[in-house]
Amino acid sequence: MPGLELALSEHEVEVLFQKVCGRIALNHTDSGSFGRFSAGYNAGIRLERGKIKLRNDGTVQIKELQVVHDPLTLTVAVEMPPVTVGGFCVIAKPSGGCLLRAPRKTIFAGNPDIAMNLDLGGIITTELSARCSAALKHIPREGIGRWQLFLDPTYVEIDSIGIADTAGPLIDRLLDAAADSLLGFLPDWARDLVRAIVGSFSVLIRKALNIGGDVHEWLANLFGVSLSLFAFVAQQVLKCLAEDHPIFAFDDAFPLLPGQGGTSSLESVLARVTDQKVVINDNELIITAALKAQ
Amino acid sequence: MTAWLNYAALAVTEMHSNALGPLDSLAHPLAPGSYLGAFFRDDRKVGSFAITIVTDGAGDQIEIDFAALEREPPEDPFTSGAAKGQHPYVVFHTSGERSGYHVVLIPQTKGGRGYDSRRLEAGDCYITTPIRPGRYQASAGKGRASAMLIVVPAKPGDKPRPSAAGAMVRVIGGRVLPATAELVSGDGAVFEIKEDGTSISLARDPDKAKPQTRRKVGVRIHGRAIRAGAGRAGIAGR
Repeated sequence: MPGLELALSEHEVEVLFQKVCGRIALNHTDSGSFGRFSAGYNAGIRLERGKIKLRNDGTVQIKELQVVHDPLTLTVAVEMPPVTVGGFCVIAKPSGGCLLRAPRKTIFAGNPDIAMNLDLGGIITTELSARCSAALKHIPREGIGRWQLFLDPTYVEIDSIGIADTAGPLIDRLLDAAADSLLGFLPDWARDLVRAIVGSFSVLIRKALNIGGDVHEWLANLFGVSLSLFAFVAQQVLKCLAEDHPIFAFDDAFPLLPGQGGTSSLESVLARVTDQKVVINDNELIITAALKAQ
Repeated sequence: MTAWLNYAALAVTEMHSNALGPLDSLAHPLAPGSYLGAFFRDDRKVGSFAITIVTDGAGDQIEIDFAALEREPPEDPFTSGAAKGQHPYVVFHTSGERSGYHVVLIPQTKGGRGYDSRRLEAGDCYITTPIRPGRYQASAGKGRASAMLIVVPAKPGDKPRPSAAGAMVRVIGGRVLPATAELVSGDGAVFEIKEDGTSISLARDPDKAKPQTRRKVGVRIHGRAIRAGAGRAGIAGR
């Protein structure tokens, strides 16, 4: 019985894989509330590079697959504390405490939110790795079907999260701008009064957002743990590779001889593909199948 | 959530102890007994409440918030107790934006003493927190004694700066001491009343209008140069 054997080198599999990665583009939006602040994002996700290693145990290893989040808009909203005057002690008790305290007078109230849009496009990159089996799946179609070769990950791992050095200064600038716009309608003296009572807005917002001293760590934690963006991306990459984006495909029936047009037209010779198998070793990914003439 | 800004507080340039508003309050030490209180806005009664002061207590102040009582009239009397002979303070104020409040207390116990906030009594404290920078004329009684409060703008800093008691002013009969006091916007000026029967008013001096600079505009009217003797009218020649 005639057969088919197609051997792809590691480099060829890598080229095919990178082509597939170039076609994967996702968009995702999510949000959450975290105590004193809420956050949401809109992320565009694309894949770049990615190295392939064929292994003797019949698996394909994907390494250094870069996930670029661009565009990436983070929206955070912080509850601002009420701004009050008064509340000071006028007459102290001899035994301690306060006999007469001035009532608090509220200037700002109702927990106004400071909302900010932070454009972080291209600032965050994650690197994934995966271990995959290779699977041929038959996609039936009318008249003619199609065999598709998928890299089916058994796991996808987030190896590293890269955040550009510019993220810290950028966030500082955006926080200051947000504070300015919030108080922009007030006269200068009232703005100074609010800023004096509340203190630095940048400090206030950083505290409310739990930024601490390290913006990079905060961003990684926010997207990685609180908003689970990276886990979502890993899941989507797994799904895309396993179900949506084959690295290679061929028709079933397989054309053994192409047809010829003209007056003495000859029809193409087609063969059904059976007993298909994928074997992977250190050097090659080999597809073998038997061909049954139709 | 929506932001709420107390526009009325930002606009305050006058305060009167007999017409309380968003930035002032009045503290009155109250002897043990039962009282019925009525509060008025622009001389129209808008609500009532009851106060009971017992002889033995922690001396905690009672806050009567007119705006809150207008929204939700109280069902139970406000209570406190004198501590070691010190009468507890009842503090009258409004958390709202309206002005023009005064209060009257009517004793319900025999021998009790009533109170009308339009006539301050010795021991009262009139507490103001002017926020708009400028010079305020503070006058006691019918303008027979006065002092000047200079409110300077608050300076923003990295750390929060809570409002503090910025100036203590004593009002003794015909004198207001000190004659000049300076405080930061948002801090308090507390007027301690030492004699019965007065009232306090604060009025901010109006901002000086910026002097209008008059530009000298040279105007030259072009006319025909007429040589002497060449026309019917013109510059007379020699």
